[in-house]
Amino acid sequence: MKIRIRNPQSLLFGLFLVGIGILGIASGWDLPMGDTVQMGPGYMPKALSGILTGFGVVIGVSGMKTEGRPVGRWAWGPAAVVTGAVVLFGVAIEHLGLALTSAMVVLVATIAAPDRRWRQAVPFAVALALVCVVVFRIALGLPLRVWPF
Amino acid sequence: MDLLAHLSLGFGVAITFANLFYCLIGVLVGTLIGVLPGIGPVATVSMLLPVTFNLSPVGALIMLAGIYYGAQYGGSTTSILVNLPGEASSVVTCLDGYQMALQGRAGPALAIAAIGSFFAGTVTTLLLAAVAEPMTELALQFGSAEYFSLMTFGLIGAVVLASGSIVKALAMVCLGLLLGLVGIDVNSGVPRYTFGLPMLTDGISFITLAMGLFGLGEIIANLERDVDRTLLTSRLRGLMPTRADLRSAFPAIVRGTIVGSFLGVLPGGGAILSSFAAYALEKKIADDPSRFGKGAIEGLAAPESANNAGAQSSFIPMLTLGIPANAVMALMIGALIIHGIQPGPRVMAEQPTLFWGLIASMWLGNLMLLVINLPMVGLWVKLLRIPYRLLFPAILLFCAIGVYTINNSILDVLMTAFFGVAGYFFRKVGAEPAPLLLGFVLGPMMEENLRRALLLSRGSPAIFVERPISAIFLILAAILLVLVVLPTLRRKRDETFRED
Repeated sequence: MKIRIRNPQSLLFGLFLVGIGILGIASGWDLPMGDTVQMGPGYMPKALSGILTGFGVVIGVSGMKTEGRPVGRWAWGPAAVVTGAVVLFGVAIEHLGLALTSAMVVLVATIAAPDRRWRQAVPFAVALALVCVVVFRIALGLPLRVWPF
Repeated sequence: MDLLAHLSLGFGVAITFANLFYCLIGVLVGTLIGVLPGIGPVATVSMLLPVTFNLSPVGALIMLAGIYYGAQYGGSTTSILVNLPGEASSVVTCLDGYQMALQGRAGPALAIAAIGSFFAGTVTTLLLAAVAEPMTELALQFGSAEYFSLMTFGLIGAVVLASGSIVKALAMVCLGLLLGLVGIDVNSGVPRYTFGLPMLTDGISFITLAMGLFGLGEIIANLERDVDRTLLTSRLRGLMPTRADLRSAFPAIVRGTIVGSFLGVLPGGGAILSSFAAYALEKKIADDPSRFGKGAIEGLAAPESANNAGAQSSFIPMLTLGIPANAVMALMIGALIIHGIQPGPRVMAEQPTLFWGLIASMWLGNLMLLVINLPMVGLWVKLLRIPYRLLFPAILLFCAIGVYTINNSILDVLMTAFFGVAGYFFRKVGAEPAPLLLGFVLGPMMEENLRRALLLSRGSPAIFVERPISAIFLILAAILLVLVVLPTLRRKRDETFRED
């Protein structure tokens, strides 16, 4: 027998919620519950995790029963590039300074654009790095290092 | 009169060089970013939040408010000129606004949108000033039980009145509440869900969450589909609407303003619901409903006025009760907290200059939008020609710099990247991230009030129904929930939010 998933969006979201709910209960297990008069730090976490698990089950089951939209193709590439560019910023900013980091982040992010044009992207990255230095360092006076040295 | 005294105090604060400047910058930058397609007010405000940290609290709020209605206005410009709504509240603007532009009447369309927004802004500023005091006095009598019930009502209302699946939105609220618990528990000093990470002891940073979910998440989602933009190439001819335009638009502006002012106060109201409802109303009372969708000026004037009225009246519960009606107001509350101001009914008494200064600046901001924007339409049109391939790396960079400069913390930047992926996931599974943010902001306050109320009642949950005001809020929340479950009303709700 083949089971057809009617609403993949809901099923996926339901599973996600159940996962979070179980994680919430498991990692909050040692927090003291207290009682309703003197609520302990564990009362709300466990209550909410339980409710989330419940929602997850309801939404997941409804995903098997009622028709709905497909999830569609995941944009793994753009997601990885965008996330990577932000992580790159975090890793580089204190070592390379604002100017180089900005230009690099813009260039890396550009990889995610389906219609990228490097001839346009490179001067744009340089210009944007300049704008960032002027706006954030000079105009707003934020404590950012501009160059690696 | 009190009202006049308050307003003059407010204008005294707002009309200082620094605050006028912040207001102007906010309005301009808000419009500038709001004009860019695919970036709505929530993303705009969260992106620019860090920029305001170095300002005084008044200056910061004035600038953020300016950014908010600037972004709203910018979104309308985009909708009229390129049929590309920046966010849900501009969807209705597209219907008739873009049609007017296609007929070569983009100028009058933009002018009517600006005039309608200004009129709505003026009325709601006065409304806000008038109801602020009674609302605050009422709120000051609230105890923990009332607050808890009010927040419950607010969250449920926000979910019910917003678009999309209700169950998913409720689940997102709970997820937000849970995320709000992360960090040291204030009552017992016990760390919760910190997973041994020192950076989590103060809780999840509000900015990283907002910026990740709305800034980065939106970028990834936008990159997934090809953004095709059919930009109007025709020159803008003449801005001024004709006398006939004004005559038919004015009643619609008044109606839109009334609808928007009421709906904006409701939790979950604000701009989106207001503009949809105003459009539906115009269509219903029109002599010839078939004109709508083909460039009817009322179909543009009413929702434009309504969304501005709604955007501004949603400040009422935020400022007087400390309850966010929508995601942008949640951001405002976050900004207040970052500036060390506890949102709630005491803000008016303890920070009168902030309170009335902000209200006065709203009117000034609307005036600036009217005066500045129409002559600058040409510039905004040029901005629209910037391709997304250049736009999104710039937005991404600004987000990263913004998050980093709050605490000079690399971990904050990494957290934002993480929430960006989460935001993309939520969009893919059809769960709106806005309710999560509301839950996250209200979570700690709700837990605190629940604990206090139950401590007072010695553990009896009956306290929530025994106290009349609290009971009313809970009954209202229950009614709302029941109403949406009823099939007829559910159909009506779906109709209101149907986009095509």
